[in-house]
Amino acid sequence: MSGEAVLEHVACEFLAWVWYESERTGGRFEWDEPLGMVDIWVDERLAFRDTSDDRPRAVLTGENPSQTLEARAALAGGKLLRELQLGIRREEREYSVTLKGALLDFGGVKLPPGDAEEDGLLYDRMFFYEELHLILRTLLTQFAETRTSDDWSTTTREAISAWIAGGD
Amino acid sequence: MAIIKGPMTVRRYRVRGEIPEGFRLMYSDALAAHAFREPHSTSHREEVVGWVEGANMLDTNFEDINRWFWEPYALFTLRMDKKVLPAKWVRAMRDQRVAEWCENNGQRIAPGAVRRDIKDAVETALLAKTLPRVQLTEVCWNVDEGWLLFHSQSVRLNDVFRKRFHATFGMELHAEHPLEWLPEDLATALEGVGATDFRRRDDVG
Repeated sequence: MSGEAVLEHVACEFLAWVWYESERTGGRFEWDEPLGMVDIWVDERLAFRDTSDDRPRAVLTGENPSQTLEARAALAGGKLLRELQLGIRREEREYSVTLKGALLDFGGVKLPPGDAEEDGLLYDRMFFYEELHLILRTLLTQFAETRTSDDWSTTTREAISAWIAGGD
Repeated sequence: MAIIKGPMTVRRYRVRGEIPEGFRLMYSDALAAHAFREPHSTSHREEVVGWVEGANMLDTNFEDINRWFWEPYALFTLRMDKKVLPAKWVRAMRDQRVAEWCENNGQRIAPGAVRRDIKDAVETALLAKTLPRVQLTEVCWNVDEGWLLFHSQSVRLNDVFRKRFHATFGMELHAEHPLEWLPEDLATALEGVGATDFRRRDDVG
């Protein structure tokens, strides 16, 4: 693998796809065991950048920023998603994470409250962190399968373009 | 500690290298050897970097393995200190002493060398009174699985951390690439895709 530069545009497309897919499916993702059913939604922050710029140029925050006209208008104007905050629920456990940049770094990760005593806190936290990592790996795998399939250019891309333009 | 409590903002690394037999004792020694040390001089102004025990920035005792290793996780903290002088104080004190020197020596202007000596003396005096700015960044290393979380995404801090980690444990770190999360054939296929323009063709100017 030749590194970060290769993934830059893929990471932006992945974030846009997650946003689209979470709205298309009502946020419900169904995977094989061990994960099963997971709810994923765009939370309180999106950051866009221009194609020629590495730094976020437009940041939308607050309640449901993904539902605002500005959010899709940014994509329609050719801006790329650079950061996306996701809310995630599996069984009774709820997570929040902001995925950032080409390495999809995890920022502002909020894990479910554990019920362990002091000595077990680390194990609780790492269990939750690893579950979150597994969910995001699985999500990226689903995107990769979609993105590399023949359907991408004929169906998915058109559907995302229509969604961006407000067609559905 | 944010690893234990509160929101986490982390970079994930793969640790490249073999874990030696009896690594707990070896790593205990390695952490102690590269632990944070207070500089000898109070006027030291360069950055000072080293490991401290997770919960207390003054604790550099890694002898008791149970204080930093919870099978399979090693937990410790990078401490980086730097003294930063208040520029306005330096300038004001320098100007005041230069004026005193001029008065004492019957000169209208102090020569450059004198001004430099005065500035050095002012800085040394202020450094001795100034507490360092302390940055503490946690490390959580799953030794069995060879991955590690560093609790910062700052490019510079991550550079410092990688070098310190290598100096301490003799192993390289590399930031985990999301393509590594995928099966190899899928990663290779994804690596080959070009950028998609989601704008509708009639919207593209």
